[in-house]
Amino acid sequence: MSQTIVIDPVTRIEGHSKITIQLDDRGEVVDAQFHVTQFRGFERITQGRPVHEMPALMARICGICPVSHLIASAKAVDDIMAVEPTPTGADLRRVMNLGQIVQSNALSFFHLSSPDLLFGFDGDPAQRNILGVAAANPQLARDGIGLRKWGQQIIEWLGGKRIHPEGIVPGGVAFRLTEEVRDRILAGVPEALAATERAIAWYKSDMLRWEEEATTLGNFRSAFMALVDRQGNVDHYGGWIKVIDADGHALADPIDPKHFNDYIGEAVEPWSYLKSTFWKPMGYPDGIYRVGPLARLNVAEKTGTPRADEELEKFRWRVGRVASSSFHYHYARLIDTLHAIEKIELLLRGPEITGPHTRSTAGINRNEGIGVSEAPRGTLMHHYKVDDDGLVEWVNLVIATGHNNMAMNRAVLQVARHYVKGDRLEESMLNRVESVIRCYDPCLSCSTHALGQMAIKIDLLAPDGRVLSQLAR
Amino acid sequence: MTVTEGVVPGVLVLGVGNSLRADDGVGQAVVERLGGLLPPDAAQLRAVYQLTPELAADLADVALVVVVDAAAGVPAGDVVVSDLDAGASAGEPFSHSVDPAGLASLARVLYGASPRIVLVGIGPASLEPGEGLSPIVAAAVATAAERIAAIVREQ
Repeated sequence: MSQTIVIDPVTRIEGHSKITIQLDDRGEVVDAQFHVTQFRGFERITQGRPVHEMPALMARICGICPVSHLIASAKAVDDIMAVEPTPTGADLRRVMNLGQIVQSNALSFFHLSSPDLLFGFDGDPAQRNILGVAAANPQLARDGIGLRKWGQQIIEWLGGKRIHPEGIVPGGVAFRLTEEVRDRILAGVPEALAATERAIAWYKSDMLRWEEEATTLGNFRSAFMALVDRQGNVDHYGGWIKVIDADGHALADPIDPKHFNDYIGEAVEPWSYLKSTFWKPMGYPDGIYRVGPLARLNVAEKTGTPRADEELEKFRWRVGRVASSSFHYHYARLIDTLHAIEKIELLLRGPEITGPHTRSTAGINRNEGIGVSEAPRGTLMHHYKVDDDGLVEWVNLVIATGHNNMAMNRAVLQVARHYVKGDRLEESMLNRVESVIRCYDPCLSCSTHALGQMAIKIDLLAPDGRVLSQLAR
Repeated sequence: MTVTEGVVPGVLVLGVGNSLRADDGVGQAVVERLGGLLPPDAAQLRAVYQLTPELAADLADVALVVVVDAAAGVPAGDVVVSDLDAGASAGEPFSHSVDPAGLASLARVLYGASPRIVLVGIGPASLEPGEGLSPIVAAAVATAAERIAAIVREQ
């Protein structure tokens, strides 16, 4: 008799989802699906709005990465206005985006994933949270809190608010950076670097414990996609889309982000609100690829900053030039953070960063625009069409978590096949299935989810719907 | 969302809630009202959506923390004031938020800080999506702000 295991909801991720694991008559895993069960509808509800409102509206999609949506949206409107942001405006956008990379990466690694790494995947679930981390390794907890706070402060000082900030507008930014705020941010750089390097050292000293997990948590061949600059290095704000295969070979020449539609397709499955994007030349579902910190390090030649490049060299020595295991997202996320901090410092020490020219102005000059940037979780694309008055007629958002959707499903299936046995439902098995999702740090639009305590529930169902076994916490 | 900036005083008031969920925004409304009642250097006033672990570092700098929030189970418009029980056990934290006891625990363990924590709860009439407070809760904002101001002045 075939059976189904449902994990609902998945915990310690950004948003609502569940996992279904399908067993065959012998209790062996035959399929697994990662369902995103929430619906937002921003692409529809923004139709008819004046396009200059879009950045502020899009920032409301998410409470964790509003800056990413602000930036991709503002870039799409730049395109419609046929305008280039001023150099100072573009650099201030970069600083704000990198501040968000730091705080979001810190949330993912220290708050959500470090409990698994510290206490083990078989550890007591009651310990596997930030309070447990604080008790067992106060320095690690302080570093996580400090990094997240510093990243949030950058967003707040530049954008006015930590959550749903403002200030990024079509043509650049709507504020001028004062020397006092610049120096306040710079004062936090040494400790942010030290905290990140402490975390990297701790992770490296501990990672051999997780050899089995690195082998089984989403370890498969796939393509990778990220933005790179002219030198082929990491670029979180602009540049070109680069896609490589599992062996590191480029699948195409660097792609102008405005032409992403020629290469990226979107598929819809009936069991999820999350679209599955794919590399068009390979079709669906063969065109699977991954985005995010691991993809950024796999795709780029270097990060382009000295400390992060030093760690990148060690990373590649340990896990290979193209890391295939999704477990290495954790390690990559820390190096991504280190690079972001170094880059913030470089940008803030630029001579024009406090200059007065922060915004270009223009009107509606095109009826279509595309904006692409790197969000913490990967490449983010906003595509708008407007009428001659600048009213929005059509919107399409291609988000990082959508790029990773097929990879997450494949990863869940791999983990389930390794750890799930039909006649045994164990907490450690469930945590590993969830943890492979957390590697990708999926953001399922989390601005509405803070009501109540998430529980986890697993039902073992017969084909007729009868509950054969149940596990909950 | 800092209402007052500058020198950090010995008192931190955290107005917790979501102003797009009707009376859940009452904590933020009280903080805004307090801005007009207290001199700028009397307290650091902050409006936040939820209590996040990062706030633990801020607790290390102050002697008194007031957490004002909508309180389910309290009659609509009533204002309830109590000190956080030092022995209160923290609930299991959500992915990126903690309860007041959890925040106090983090501050104690990570920063050696044990400020007095006063909880001010206001009974909501509605927590449905929407802007603006219900009349009965809006009327309670001044009461809550005045009681907090009195606590701050006594500090």
